Amino acid sequence: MSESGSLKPDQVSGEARLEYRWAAGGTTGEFLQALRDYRRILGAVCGGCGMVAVPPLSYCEICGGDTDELREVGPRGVVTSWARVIEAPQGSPVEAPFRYVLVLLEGADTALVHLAPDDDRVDVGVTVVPEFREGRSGAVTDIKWFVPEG
Amino acid sequence: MRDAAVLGWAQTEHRRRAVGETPQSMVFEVVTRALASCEMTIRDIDVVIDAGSDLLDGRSTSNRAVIDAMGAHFKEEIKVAGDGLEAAIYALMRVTSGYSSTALVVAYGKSSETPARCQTLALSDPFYLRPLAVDALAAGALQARFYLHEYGLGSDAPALVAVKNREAGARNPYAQEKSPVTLEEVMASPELISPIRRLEACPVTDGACAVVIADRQTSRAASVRPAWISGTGHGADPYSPGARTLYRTESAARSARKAYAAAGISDPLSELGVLEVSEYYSYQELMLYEALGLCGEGEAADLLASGATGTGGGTVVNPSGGVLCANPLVATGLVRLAEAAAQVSGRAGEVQVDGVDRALAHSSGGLAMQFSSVMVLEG
Ligand SMILES: [Zn+2]
Repeated sequence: MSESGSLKPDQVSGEARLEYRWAAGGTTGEFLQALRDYRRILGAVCGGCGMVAVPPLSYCEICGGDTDELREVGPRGVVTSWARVIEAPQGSPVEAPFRYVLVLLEGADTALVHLAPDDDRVDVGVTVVPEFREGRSGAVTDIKWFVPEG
Repeated sequence: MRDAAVLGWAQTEHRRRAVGETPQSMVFEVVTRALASCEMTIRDIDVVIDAGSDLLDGRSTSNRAVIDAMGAHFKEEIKVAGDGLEAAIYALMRVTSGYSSTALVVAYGKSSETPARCQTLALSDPFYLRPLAVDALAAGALQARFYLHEYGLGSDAPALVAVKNREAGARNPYAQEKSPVTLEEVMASPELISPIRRLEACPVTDGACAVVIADRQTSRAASVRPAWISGTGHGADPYSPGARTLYRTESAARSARKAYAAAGISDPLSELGVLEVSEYYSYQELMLYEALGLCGEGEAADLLASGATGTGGGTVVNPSGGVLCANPLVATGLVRLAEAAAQVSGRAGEVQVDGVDRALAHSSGGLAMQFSSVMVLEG
């Protein structure tokens, strides 16, 4: 403390904000278009190992092969894991409480990370279906979340 | 294999918020102390290999502004974008290839200066995961449930990891969390994202670590007892959590197999006295028992309950208290190396385990332990 009684500054504040325009690439672009325009979920069929990956990439995360084609999967799927959120994190597209889920869609070999309502029926092994939003924008959040079937 | 050794190391006293410290001042402190710990000066160092985070520092190519504090000006210097243990593996390659005789490894992280969960949300890709707010905690919670469900375990099984590590951390002068907790306190702590509770998650930490690695000739001539590096391994799993068999961490298993083959280890449970592993969440330590070969798949909870990995056990895991007691992000894995080196050379002070001939250091990175590194040390 100085004679004037003032405090030594112990920090400065600022922000590093950058706006991005991330190129979606052909495969992801097609996936997002199918969600927005047709309410369809596409998986990537690997030309190397035949695995169907959701969400799709232009290459295979398992064998390193090229993606041969995009194929519709689901819409039904089975929950393989879930986690309950009581306090929504920053940027969360839905209000808490909700659940994160891993969903293995029919016809797919890898699981999609997505959301579900905080409903005790959302459990491992339960069949769920997507609930699409109105006014879709071409984003993975065009599916609001997956809800228990029936 | 006795081609290289860890000779010196230092870590900060890890804190929730290091008021009055900059990344540079923390780095300068640990570099100075690490060199002194093996009776070297910066002039004895051929190359500096460092790990820092542009995101945490809020500055691109973050090493540029920290280079003088590391003593790396007027020298060769390389930045590794990952955990400090990955930088140590790079240093090992440098000294075993004959390209350098000595390497200084530096890692630091000041997580207190930005919102903690945004730091790991930035690990998520902008198309498939980030719009859903999937950060390290969310991915970890999905992995935790997957693991518990696969083996029919209750959520009290990983809670015991927190009890064990907080008991150990209470003895560690560098730890941030220095108070033991009971199983009841862990179970009653608030759910962050189920099944992970507050006391089962790593704290937010400011801290740094530095390690000196040298070739055989330098190590043999050293005035301190070397911690010989007898094996290492590093690897990655697919990026998408849903493309992995989430109840296993394959990259850690592959890394360990490679390190054990080099070190001549066939039964890690009986041949390793100490393991220092990176358990950002309690369940990860259980998964790592299996990946690192201490037990078979699905047997980790029983191994933990037997006391074999706790204080007084035959294979003590995280005698430092582990990541649950201090998580200086980016430096976290390098701290594991410093602790393991201290154990095999009898310099671990208050957390020393008796008669440790061999120890293992492990780091992980990415969502749900996508990346793994392992190093085996011998006295
Ligand atoms: Zn493939």
